[in-house]
Amino acid sequence: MAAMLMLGPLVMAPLVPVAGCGDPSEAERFDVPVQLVPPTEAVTTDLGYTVTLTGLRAAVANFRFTVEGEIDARAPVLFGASTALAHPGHFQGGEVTGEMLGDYVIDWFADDRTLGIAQLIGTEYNAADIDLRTFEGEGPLNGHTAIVEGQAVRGDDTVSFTVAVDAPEGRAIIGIPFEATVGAETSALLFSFLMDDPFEDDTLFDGVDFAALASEGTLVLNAASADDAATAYAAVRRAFLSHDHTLFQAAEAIR
Amino acid sequence: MLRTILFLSLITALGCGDSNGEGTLAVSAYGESFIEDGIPSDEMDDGWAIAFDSFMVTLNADIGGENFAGTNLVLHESTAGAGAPLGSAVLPSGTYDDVTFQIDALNVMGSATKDGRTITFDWTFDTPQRYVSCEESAVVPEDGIGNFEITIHGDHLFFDSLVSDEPGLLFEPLAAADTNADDVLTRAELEAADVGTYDVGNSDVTNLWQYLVAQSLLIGHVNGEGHCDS
Repeated sequence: MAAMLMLGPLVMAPLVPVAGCGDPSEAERFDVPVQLVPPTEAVTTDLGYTVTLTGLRAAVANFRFTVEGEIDARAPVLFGASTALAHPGHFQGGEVTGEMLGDYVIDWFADDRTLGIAQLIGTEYNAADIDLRTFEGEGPLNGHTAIVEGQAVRGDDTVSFTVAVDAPEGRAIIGIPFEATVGAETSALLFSFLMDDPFEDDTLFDGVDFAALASEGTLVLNAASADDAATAYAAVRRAFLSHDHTLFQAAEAIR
Repeated sequence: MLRTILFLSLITALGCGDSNGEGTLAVSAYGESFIEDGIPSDEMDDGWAIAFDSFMVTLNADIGGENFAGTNLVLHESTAGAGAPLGSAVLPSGTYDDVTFQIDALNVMGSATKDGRTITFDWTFDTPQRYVSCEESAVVPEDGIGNFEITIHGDHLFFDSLVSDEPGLLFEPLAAADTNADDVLTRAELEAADVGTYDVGNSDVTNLWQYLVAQSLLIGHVNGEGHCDS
């Protein structure tokens, strides 16, 4: 089940009123449950593997929802205007007007899909940020940020795999797309993990040749992997730590 | 007189307070000891030591309506903290919050040494990068000289992350890109090398040359550790 650990009371004091010079009481605030959307759809990688996830757990903290951020402009500055088309929907650096603080262990495949209750000021949102943690506790997630499990199939090859993702200390995912208006009609924030990146038309596992890397049993990719497996681990880790594979959406109550 | 009036108007517009007189603003570029003296092995996280035979920067700064520019400024020679002068100007005394600057090009030649092996490099980065909204202001004292420094952090080229506040300092991943083992690390070799374990954040960086370019766009600071938006 989705395990939730609240480190402290949810407080709104750090939140910035929408109207900077106005009466803070003008900003209406909403308590909205954050619900997980599991990545149940299979994806096909650039190497032709059809990948299905069977498990996905991650240690995260401090959800922050932001408004009026700037479009992520680093890529076009670096590598030409054409790359700019690869980053629509990614804003970052905006003001925080909603949050769900504390440490959380997310299990996207748990029966209980409700992760916690976020508090947000009613306004239009552009993006979300979350901190990443190294989990300390029982189980396979111990010592890691995320455990990704699944199966990759190509032709006669079927490979079960486990990737243990380690994030650097203090790392956050910045600029997760969250294009939504939060108000009285908002019944939930839907937090999705995406194996494919709809903006860049690639997947979390592009470049990973599962059959070539697997010997027998489950293919394990982690920080201790060597040679080609190390390259594969680095590629999956880079994708996981970017803002390309997570998404927030607002669900409206059905009347 | 017209110039003075214009500057006074600017200061007022920026909300920088009263200005009763003039002073001189001297602007310099400084590479700190890491560029002038090199990066010793005990500062790196993998035991390599870095020496810069040449570290030249082309940049210009805009402060208080004045432009301070320098081409191929030499940062690798010891200056006892003075840095390379960009110029000076007489300005109305006051505090200037409107500092912006642009680094247009870097040429970095040097070597990395570990366990008796020395690898040389000669890299030119010519992607302009503008820095704005700096944490530090330029201060012009009345009838005095105020110094303002564009600080170049050469060690950032060896950071292992584009996004971490506390990155490691590594050369080993770059050394591994010297695939022909001639101890000369070229742009072509770096372009052919996967970015590997470096943390690229949300960027589309995929190879080591792109990674170095990205780091080169983050090396500008002001007055030491003052950050700017870039």
